[in-house]
Amino acid sequence: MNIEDRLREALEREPAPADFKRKVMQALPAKKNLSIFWWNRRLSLALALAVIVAAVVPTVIVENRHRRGIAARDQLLTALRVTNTTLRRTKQMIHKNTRRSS
Amino acid sequence: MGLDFARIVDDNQSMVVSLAKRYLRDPETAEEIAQDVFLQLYRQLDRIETPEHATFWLRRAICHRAIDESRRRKLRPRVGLENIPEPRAETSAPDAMLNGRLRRLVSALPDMPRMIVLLRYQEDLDPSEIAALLEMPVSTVKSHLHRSLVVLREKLGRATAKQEACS
Repeated sequence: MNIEDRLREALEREPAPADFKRKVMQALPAKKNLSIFWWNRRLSLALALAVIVAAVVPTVIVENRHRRGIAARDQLLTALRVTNTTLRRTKQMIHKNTRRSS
Repeated sequence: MGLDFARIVDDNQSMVVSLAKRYLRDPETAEEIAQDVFLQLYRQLDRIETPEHATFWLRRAICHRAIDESRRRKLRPRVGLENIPEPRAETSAPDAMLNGRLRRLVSALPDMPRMIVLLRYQEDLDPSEIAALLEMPVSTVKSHLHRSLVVLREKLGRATAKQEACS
């Protein structure tokens, strides 16, 4: 048998101590607490983000409404100006026609 | 995916403990580190996709933890390949005796060659897999393997000749 085969034979995995698995499994709850700690931190972070979003989103909505209101007001004023001009011209025409007929 | 952690421990405990013990040569520390590596895996279980992935992850983790631990604790002063002690002559069953000698010779190898020999002959990994695991060039792995084999063969041959002369 050559040295490599000898090494393979000599270095076969040895079984773990009988209580190894039990020790690992017993140590898990401590780890779970750690996991709960991290989940709590994640939850806190998520809540903080939700509060920020809750505060920012309504402001953005109000701001948008305000901007649309201003745009609507401007359009209305333009329409009124156009109507005013049209009415004035119509009035002038009526005046002219009335004078001519009298 | 829900992997069964208890099953992973069953399937891999022998590999993890053997690697740690043979590398660190301190059974208590080795067992402690092996447990710690399993707990580390448990914390990251949601990132592990298959049992093969778990084995790969554990092998990598135990190698790096053992190397770090060895460096940190300076478990033993660095020993050159030429300083490996001659194995003692023994009179038990020839194969068991030879295997015991080989294990002692391997445990006397310097840190990196020892880990490489363990991964090659205990875990049956090829040099490219070992290189990836230990993050080093394949040529370095091959060179460590070659030199280790030369030294092991020589020391083993010398010890066997000595024993034959005595009997």
